[in-house]
Amino acid sequence: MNMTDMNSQSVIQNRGGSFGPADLEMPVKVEVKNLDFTYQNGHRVLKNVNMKIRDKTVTAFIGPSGCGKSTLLRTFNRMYDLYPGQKVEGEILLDGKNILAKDVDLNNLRAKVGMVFQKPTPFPMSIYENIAFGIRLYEKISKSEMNDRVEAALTEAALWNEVKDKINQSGLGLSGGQQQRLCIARAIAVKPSVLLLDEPASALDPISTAKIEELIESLRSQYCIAIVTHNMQQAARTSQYTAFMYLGELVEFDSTDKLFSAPSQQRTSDYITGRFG
Amino acid sequence: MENTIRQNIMSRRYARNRLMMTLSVIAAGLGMFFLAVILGTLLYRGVSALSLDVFTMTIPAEGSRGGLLNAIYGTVMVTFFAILIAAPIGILAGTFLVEYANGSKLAEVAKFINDILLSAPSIIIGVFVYGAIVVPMRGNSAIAGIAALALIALPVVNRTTQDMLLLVPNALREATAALGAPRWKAMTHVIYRSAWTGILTGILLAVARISGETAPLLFTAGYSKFMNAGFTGPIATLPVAINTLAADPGEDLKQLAWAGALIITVAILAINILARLMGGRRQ
Repeated sequence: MNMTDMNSQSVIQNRGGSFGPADLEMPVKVEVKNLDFTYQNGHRVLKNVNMKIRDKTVTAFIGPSGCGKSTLLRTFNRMYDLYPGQKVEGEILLDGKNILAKDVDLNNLRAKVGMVFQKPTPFPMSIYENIAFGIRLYEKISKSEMNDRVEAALTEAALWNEVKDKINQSGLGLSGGQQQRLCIARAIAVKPSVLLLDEPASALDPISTAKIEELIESLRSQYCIAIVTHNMQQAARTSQYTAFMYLGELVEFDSTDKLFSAPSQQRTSDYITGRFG
Repeated sequence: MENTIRQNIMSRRYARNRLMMTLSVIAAGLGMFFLAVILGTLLYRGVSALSLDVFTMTIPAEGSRGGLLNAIYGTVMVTFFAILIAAPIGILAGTFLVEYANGSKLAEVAKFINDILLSAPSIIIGVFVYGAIVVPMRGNSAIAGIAALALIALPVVNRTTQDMLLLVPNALREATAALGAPRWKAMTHVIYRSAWTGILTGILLAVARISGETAPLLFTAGYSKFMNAGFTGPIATLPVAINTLAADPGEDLKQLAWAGALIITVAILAINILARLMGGRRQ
């Protein structure tokens, strides 16, 4: 597919100008400042990353394997805390507060910053319980309220109609695409403000992928969404902003329209035209 | 020319294949043959020795009526309490080693020692418990037997728990953490839930293993002809009863030993099959 095709397919609000015109800019939700990330073995995977991610927009992270895009995403909910020895330096401000500070309550942070992974990860319990599990972590509500919340989350994730008759069956019995939408429903059920999607469609067939992309578009008005993807067309289709990363550096970050049509960096242009990666 | 070389190579390969195939079949047949002989003899001698008395009366003196009731009771009781002690400790230890201390020096050392314990000769465990419990208590007791069997079951349950937890994909742990669930909640609600059939299978296999143990019971639980429901006195178990009765010159008692051997073998076989079925359902 050539560049003109790609642009005509993408639905993009931001026209022209780096970072888009002021009237279309949403407030900054997440600000990354001088972020460095080092693995146990001393390998530095993120090098001085600086960026501002805007609320109620979709920001895509693209780049070749190993460029650090997933690692960057996993710093936003401090997933790396599960693995002792991984070290992060710099600041990530969520609504102006540094989430990398020592005294941050991780569970509260993760309630605000939901995440969906590459492989669907339904819990070994019923569809209903998959959603209710997260809600119960933060709220004590009655059975009927819970029923409403579960239905609302599944509806928002465009899954309700497919599962309403088997809500008490195991989540493991769903198809891959349905499982992934269940995971999205589970994440939004706890009412986060940021949604991290780590290659959410790369394990799915094209039809399921299209459904996930539609879902992302419908969720955009309520969440700050960050999506890591291997698929440049997907980045162009789903996002308003795109960050191109290479070897741990943020090479270029701009409106999706601008980045794909007139990249300012040679490396970006080489990557999006398929010269490497 | 080239064709004949190829034919030569191929025919040599076929010949080698036939040879190896024949050897494999013989080896498999030999194994099956001895298993069949053992089970056949056991069935032939055991079934004829079975009677209602075996399940309703205690071990007799030569020449009088009797059965194996006290030994059956002893095996069930000692195995039950041994598993009751070993299962929770083993599960918790395995959980700690995989979920909380994984990768640490302590965990590596503990896993290694556990594996040594797993293959320790059971008589050694028996001797240890003899010194630790039987000597201070001045006599054989059900407690000592329970302790010995618990020590044998513990590393089995521990290891199975480790293996089963390692099979739970890491993505599931990350997904639970990403929701903001505390660690213990992730364990009880998600991780155990996906590993429990495997862990239960491991416990059943541990039951099968310890209910057939003889060596560690010989000088811990000891032997008694009488029904003993308490913990402090000596108690007969099926394997020890078989060992004692088979060595008796009395023909009736030898018959009883055959009956005991059949009972314990069938019971262990049943537990193994149950464990297999459970393990199979998981996959």
